[in-house]
Amino acid sequence: MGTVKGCELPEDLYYHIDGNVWARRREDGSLDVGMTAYACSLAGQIVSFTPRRIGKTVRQDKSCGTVESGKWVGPVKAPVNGEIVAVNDAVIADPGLINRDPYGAGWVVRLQPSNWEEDRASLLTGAAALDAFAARMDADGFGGC
Amino acid sequence: MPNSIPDPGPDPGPAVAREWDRLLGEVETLAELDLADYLSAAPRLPLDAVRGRPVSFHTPDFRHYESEELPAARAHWPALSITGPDCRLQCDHCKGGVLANMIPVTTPALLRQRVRQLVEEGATGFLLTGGSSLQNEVPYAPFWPVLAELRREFPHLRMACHTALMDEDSVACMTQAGIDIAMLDVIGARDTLRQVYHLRREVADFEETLALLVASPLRVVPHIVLGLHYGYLLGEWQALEMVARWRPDALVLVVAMPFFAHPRRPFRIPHPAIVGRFFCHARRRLPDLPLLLGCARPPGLARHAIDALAVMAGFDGLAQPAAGIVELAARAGRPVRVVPACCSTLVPEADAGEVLDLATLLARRVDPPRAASVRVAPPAKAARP
Repeated sequence: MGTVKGCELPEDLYYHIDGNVWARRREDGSLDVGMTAYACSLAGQIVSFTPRRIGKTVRQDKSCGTVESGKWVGPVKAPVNGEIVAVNDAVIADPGLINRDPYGAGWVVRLQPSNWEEDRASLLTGAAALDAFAARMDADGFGGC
Repeated sequence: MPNSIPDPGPDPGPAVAREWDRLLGEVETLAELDLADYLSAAPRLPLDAVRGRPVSFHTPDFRHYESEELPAARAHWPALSITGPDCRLQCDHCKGGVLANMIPVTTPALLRQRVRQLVEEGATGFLLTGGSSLQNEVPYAPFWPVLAELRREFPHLRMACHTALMDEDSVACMTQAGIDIAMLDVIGARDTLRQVYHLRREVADFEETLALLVASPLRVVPHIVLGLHYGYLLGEWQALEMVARWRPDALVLVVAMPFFAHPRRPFRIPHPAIVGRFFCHARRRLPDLPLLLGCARPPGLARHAIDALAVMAGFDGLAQPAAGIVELAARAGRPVRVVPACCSTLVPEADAGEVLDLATLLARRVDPPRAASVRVAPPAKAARP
């Protein structure tokens, strides 16, 4: 488990650094997508997740859904181009699950990538991802999770 | 709990609902959502009644706000609390939760330092507030001299103040300190004061503060919180009548949020249809007063519905609109302007702010805008008629 400034960032996941989201590739080629612990720390206690519809085609960096907290309203951005094939009903019913288990039960949508081989080039994983997050946290003046 | 309203006005009929439903269906983000339960029972003004009426969308950064329709605001209009997260009153709907997300400026020196820093970062104004005493008064007295100093140092900086209850002396001090905008939660039900606020003051005290503010040179923008009585509407119509009697510069409506309440005294989310009926009632009752939907609203689908109903009721401004709402307003033929400042600033038409048309909004679906530093020129103080 990687950690940057107290934020857990599993090294086996793909990360879209600008969007502050993670992606886990499933056996069928689809991706589970969620917010990083860093993003959760910025947002605070999440009180609502409103997903885009199943079947919606989303472009990379476009909204898969909206999260809200007492101090945050903003989109969860798609890490790759693709189609939303599932949304996490457990998170819709209990948005705090995103904070409690951001990399497990707190996934928010499942995407079927339209061009994984091309889009994965814009994602980072492992040590490169940790270094990129460290740089971003410094640039943002983030104190830590 | 009473949720009926006196004389909601003539039922505009299903044709009005159909024409709005058609527009809602054209906004992709809203068409995806299941808003039927929320909107089907809600009255709306006829499209012709709102078409051409300008609407401003405000993006202060009391909380981080980002949507694909609007660029993210950065430190342009923060909220500062002179008591930090502390509040002695501990009202059941808030428990100090709203203050906890604000920038603490618990001494005059801290206030001076923080405001100078914010101005350097590009802030064009700020909201000043704080926790209340058991008499619903905020301890501003030590801060007036520093505020006067900041006014002299930054003559164009907009300073808005949540007043809570005030007497004549406090209003005079606030005026002399150079505050531009005074905001007050107007509460119209004694039961709400006793039960929700735990407050031994009267409704008349709120009307008296409103009267004192309106008599001052300040720009006065009271707030009414819909659903303040544990999610039910109780004193809101009385509060509206108080506003109608004293004719401030504008009125902000917000909707009680449930997530700061203690589980033993929970707040339900007011049904958006009931909120929408009040919106139409307020619009008809105050046809010429700027009517604004403030930042505080319940989240999720309820928020989308409430925002849509505000557009359909002809509101003049909305803060931090839900996804798709700006496009709805544009499709309804309402000229749209985006202002990265508190809605209470009431930036006039002629001032800066981003004007958006439908073509621009639709283009943003493809290319989301990066965070922009949109500057708004502070307006000159208008003379009170």
